[in-house]
Amino acid sequence: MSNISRILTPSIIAILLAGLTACVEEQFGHGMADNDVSDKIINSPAGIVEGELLLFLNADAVKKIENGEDVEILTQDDVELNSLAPVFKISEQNRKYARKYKLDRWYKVNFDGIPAREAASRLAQFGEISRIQFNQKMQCGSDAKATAPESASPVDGYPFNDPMIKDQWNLINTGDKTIASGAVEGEDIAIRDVWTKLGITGDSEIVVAILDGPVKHSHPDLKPNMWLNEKELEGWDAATEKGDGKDNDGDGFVDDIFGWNFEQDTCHIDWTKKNETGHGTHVAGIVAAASGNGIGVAGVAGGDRSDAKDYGTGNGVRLMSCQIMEGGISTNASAAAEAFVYAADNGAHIAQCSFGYQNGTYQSDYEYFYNYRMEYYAIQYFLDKDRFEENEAAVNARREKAGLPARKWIIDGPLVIFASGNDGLDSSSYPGALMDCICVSGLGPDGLPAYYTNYGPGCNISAPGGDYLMNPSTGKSQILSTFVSEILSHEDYAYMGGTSMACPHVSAIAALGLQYVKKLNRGPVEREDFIADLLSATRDIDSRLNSGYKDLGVNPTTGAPLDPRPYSAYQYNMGTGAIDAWKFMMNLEGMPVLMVKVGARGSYGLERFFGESASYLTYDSVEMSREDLASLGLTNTPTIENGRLVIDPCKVGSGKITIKAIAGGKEVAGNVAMGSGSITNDSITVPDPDGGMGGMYITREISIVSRGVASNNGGWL
Amino acid sequence: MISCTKDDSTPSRYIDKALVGEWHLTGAVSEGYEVNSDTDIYMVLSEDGTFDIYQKGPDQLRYDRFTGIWYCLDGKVMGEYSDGSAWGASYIPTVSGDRLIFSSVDLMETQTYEKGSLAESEKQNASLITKIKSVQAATSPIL
Repeated sequence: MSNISRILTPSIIAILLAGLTACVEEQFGHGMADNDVSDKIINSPAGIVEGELLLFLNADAVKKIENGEDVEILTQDDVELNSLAPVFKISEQNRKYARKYKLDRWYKVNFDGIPAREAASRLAQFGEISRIQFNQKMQCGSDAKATAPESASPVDGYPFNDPMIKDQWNLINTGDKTIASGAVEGEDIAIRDVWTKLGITGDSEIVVAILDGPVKHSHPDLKPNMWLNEKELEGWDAATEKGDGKDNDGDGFVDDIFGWNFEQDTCHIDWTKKNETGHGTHVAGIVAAASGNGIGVAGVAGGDRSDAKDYGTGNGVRLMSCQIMEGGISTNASAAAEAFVYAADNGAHIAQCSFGYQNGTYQSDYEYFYNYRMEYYAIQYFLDKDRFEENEAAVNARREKAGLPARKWIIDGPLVIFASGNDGLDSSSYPGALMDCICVSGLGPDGLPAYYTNYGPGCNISAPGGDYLMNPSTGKSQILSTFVSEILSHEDYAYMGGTSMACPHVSAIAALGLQYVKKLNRGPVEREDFIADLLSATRDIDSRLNSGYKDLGVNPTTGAPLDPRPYSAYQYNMGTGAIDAWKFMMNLEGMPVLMVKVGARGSYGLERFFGESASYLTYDSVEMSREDLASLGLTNTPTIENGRLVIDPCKVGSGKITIKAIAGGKEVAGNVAMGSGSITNDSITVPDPDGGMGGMYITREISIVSRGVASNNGGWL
Repeated sequence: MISCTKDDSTPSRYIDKALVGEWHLTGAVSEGYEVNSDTDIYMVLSEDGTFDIYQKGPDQLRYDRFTGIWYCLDGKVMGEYSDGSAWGASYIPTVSGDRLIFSSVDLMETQTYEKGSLAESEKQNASLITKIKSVQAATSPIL
């Protein structure tokens, strides 16, 4: 048993902060007085990691720890603690943002001998502890039916020479009936023209953090596009893949070359554990397996270099491995929260998150926030625009020092993208359902909802996730990607299915969008505009869901057949529709003009502006300036009726209109101001206690021209 | 000056070769007002009865390309987009040298074009508009 005081080493104490006063949670109220023991425990002890608790200490306790003084928690006898340590390694650079979100006040205690529930009750009596959170487990969003592919050789007619690309229907769906009898040509992510016509295949300056199981960084198809931590490269031996055992950048992470293993708190990303599922490696390959290198599969954003073999040789987006699962064991709130902070501090543009709580655990953004505020604030820390901007400046200062060109300022804030979950239920899991996160549902090779996918409120968009039931004999109806040869018949590639596989398609397409913004020299774009462009770049699913039934297979526990579900249950519930990479790039290029007819009340479809499901979306508001209303001769602001813009201009003219829609449900949970942080005075927001679970706003500004002639489809004649 | 006229007394569709070619929009007047849309328009009317319209709004980097069929009928030019949508109007055409004027039959709009081709590279880069849901106008479209 280790001594607690030894865990609080001087180096850790040095990064703790003084001067904290009232905490955000205390300001928020809701009957959570510090002295109320039962209210201190903020979540339920179901499905948790035993032997540890997450404590939110009061300001005085943190001060004492910083000063090396004894705190009550360490001297008490009620619970025999093995360790007490800060949850987060807070970098000097981002200290003020850690303080803004109170991340520096979260500690983890480890103990033996009693259930976590009992330990929480005992520790809650101590005034130094403001809140106690059970470290609840989460599940990865994959049904983990890994199937080995057939051997393959290069085929003509594809943009890349990666031999297995012909089985990657998610990228280019030819309607091949050996994939599935129901496969439909074109039901893919529409990536071909993005690669070939735009030359957008990936960019090594764009970093996608894979918060997941371990990414096998030595995999021949992943190696070239692995993120390499330039701050730690000094002393690293590429041949042995070993570091020098020093924390070269002084951020608390020793030899973190490829990322960090948050399960074991080590730089050793470990994919060899018993029961390892290969999940993280599979997800990473969907994002950026090296494309065009003549081996294995192509990644969505894997670059195009034929000589991409060794570390650093690829020109795809960079994959940062943030290992939060191990040996098939689900992750937990603490590991995930730590990974968000690490990814933020190390310059990730996108957090790719194929995990979540079991569906139904939380029913609203506020409920999730209330129960898992440490994780919630870690996500907010990642998303913080000011932090991101300062981090970009720091990244460039380092690059300049190393003689590297500056990384371009592409977007004003990073993105968090989650899987919606595989419960087959009518709402998204959390954290993906949060209004701040893009949440992805899964489609089969027929372009229709997969049997496992969650749908409904919180699900913002859909992408190929595969559907095992469409071809169980070969598994080819799932998604083919990189795999861990140590665990499946020595195979480097395998099929897997789930919203876990759908999610990285959207992450990778978002990364390609960032590359395109950079190429167009249009950055930095506003994150909200970028997300609106992404979520409105879709093909219609809903019109195909009027009839028929979805085969749901059997109950995984009992083996009893499940009743097929009417497709109509999914209708209008798959977010804005099926992601279309080409349309996304076109959205980034600029908005088309909507021509309307003067002197007539007209109703105009918004598909070109909000995706092909535009007529089924919920619209929140329409706004026009007084000048633009006058320019078009409008006495009233146009309205949305049945998903169409209704406008009655009586003057030839032009103007701009701003339309706000909701992607993923009929409402948005909404945020409310929290007040001010006591140190930085930066205001932060939290979910509205009266809000539910819902989608996210997408706002588009449209140019309108009124004239004597207007076709129904926006064409000039 | 050449107008779109019938060759015989039977009211049937035909292609007026005088209209065939590539045209660049130089101006449009609706209800007496100049349409100041900053939208760049090229119209290609082919002899085989197909058309291409390349249009680009001020905020766009690339032209949108619309395709479909066109024809003359009873002295008027009309057409249909590949998605089945009819043109917003049928037009009375007037060709004078390198200039083409399209006047909508209800005289709501007059469009003036001059001979001119869009660069081939721009055509190649144009974004083909293939799947557009037709929109039900609250008022009947003018055909």
